[in-house]
Amino acid sequence: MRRIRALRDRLRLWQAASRSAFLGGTIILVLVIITATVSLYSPYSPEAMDFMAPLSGPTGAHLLGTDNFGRDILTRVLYGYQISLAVALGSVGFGLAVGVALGLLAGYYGGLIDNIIMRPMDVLMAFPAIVLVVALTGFVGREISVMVLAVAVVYVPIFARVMRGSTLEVVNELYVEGARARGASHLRLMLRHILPNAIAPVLIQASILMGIAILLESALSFIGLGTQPPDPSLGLMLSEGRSFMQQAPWMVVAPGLAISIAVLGFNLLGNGLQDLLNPARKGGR
Amino acid sequence: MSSTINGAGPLLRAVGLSKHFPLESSLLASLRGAEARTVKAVEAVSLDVYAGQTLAIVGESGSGKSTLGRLLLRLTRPTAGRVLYKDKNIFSMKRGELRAFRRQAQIILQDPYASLNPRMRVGRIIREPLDIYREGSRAERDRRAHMLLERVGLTSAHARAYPSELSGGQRQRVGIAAALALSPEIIIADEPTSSLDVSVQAQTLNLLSELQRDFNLTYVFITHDLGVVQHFSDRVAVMYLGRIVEEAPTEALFAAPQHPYTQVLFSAIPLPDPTRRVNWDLPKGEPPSPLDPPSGCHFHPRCPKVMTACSAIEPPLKATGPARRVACLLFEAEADLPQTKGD
Repeated sequence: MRRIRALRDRLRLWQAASRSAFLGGTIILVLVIITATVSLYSPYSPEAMDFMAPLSGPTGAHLLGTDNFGRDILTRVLYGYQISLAVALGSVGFGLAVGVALGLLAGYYGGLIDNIIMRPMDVLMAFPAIVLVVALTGFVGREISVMVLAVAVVYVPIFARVMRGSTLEVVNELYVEGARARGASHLRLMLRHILPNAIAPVLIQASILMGIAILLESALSFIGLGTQPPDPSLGLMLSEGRSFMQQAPWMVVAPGLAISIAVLGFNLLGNGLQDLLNPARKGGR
Repeated sequence: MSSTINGAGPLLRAVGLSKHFPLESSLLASLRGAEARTVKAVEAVSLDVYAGQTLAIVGESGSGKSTLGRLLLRLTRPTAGRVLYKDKNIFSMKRGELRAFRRQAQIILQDPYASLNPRMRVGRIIREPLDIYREGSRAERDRRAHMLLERVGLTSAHARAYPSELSGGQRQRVGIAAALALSPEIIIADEPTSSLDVSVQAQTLNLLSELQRDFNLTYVFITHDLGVVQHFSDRVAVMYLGRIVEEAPTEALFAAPQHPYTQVLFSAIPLPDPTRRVNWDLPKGEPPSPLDPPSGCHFHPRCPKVMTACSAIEPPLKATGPARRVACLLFEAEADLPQTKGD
């Protein structure tokens, strides 16, 4: 009976605090489903050119119109999302794994280890993100995997710093000291006692950085260092559409809106999680 | 050393234990050549804990009693001194020895709201010590956790709850069950009841003394509650600003406290008989800052029996009777006569 009541209270808390998390999560989920299955239902290939209808406005055949080669814009936006989401998930996933491990170690051990880990992070942080990513992709190559790694390199210090901060907060909690008094190993203290109680701010950061990763991928592709033509990418479409803005505004409006929607989704999710996880962290009372 | 009881040596001994915390010194201050200031949380404390007994450490907040407790478990390193567990210094123990020590010496923490991991279910919390030492199979550990839950007055249904779903008293029982899981020899309890309601306090104390009988536990009980001390402990050490000022068997101490600080402390206990006149012999003023303790005897500015020498001489702990020691110049002269053996 009490468990049911607790569950109901928790649900109510979720509802109240998380309208934005719910909305953001729904947007992301829908985007992921639509883009993951696009090849199943799309009548066009993203590279197929319809020479009869270049620069066509929205019609029944091309719902969002076509570009200067007669390629279907809706199809290209959906395929473009695949790359954007892959870069976002890949870079955040990689950055999260490395950054959380480094931040946890730095915050837990402190002292020399903290300095050995965090000083190089400070150096990385000193570079503006876009400069760092441009330099990395410029030097190493222009494949998606390079782009993912380049954005991840930008993200590692951010995650490390957030994780270190929240580790410092948790490491002095009484329950950590209690576990230490019982003879728990460093690894057990870090993984069982500190990590679960310190991860919330990092997850909030992660969902916001997903949105920024989409922007970074678009920006890179826009200036020609990211996805290469003819692959569809939202940033690349913006850049190609720039010259036709007068005749065919849908060429930039569609990818521009698409970027905004995805970023909005991740930001709503991040903000909602912030409301949601903070009171819960204080014991859920 | 105070006389040994039952002929057995002490289970845990602190010898000349000190802990000084350096204060955050600014770069500017160190450039100016200012000396790094320290807080002397614990200063030259020696005491013995005998098996099967309860030693209470009492003192006001800021007296260093919690730091002393943490030192006794090697949760922090001392500035000077040793802690001997069965004649072995715990601060020079190697991994394996330390592991064995941690198994035998458990802690019950003050605040049951902060001392349980909020993301672990109660069953896991109690099982964890067994997990750490890989005691038996997973099923056996679970069974023992459930048994412990019942032993401390909860039900095995509580194993699935998170700490936030329990009351303060229930949480403290979980903390006690976790401390008991490995059948330790000694438990250091840092104000285990101070954040509980009075009725729950009594239940918790009763539980602790039952467990002491059943498992032959040794307790070090850190508290500021003299009522608890009187009913619960065999011996008492009174701390003031990092030093032990008096140590005595509980009955003897309550019958005739010797140190002026202990006397004023005891006069502050509310009496159950309202018709009796209370001699409100309260200490003057606030306890001084541990940052800048008074010279000589730390208590002299507040002492009702202060003498001129008190601000100049730090009185050492002197034996004043069987198993009794006091650090006060008033007893200096007498103590020199029929001494047993001072420390």
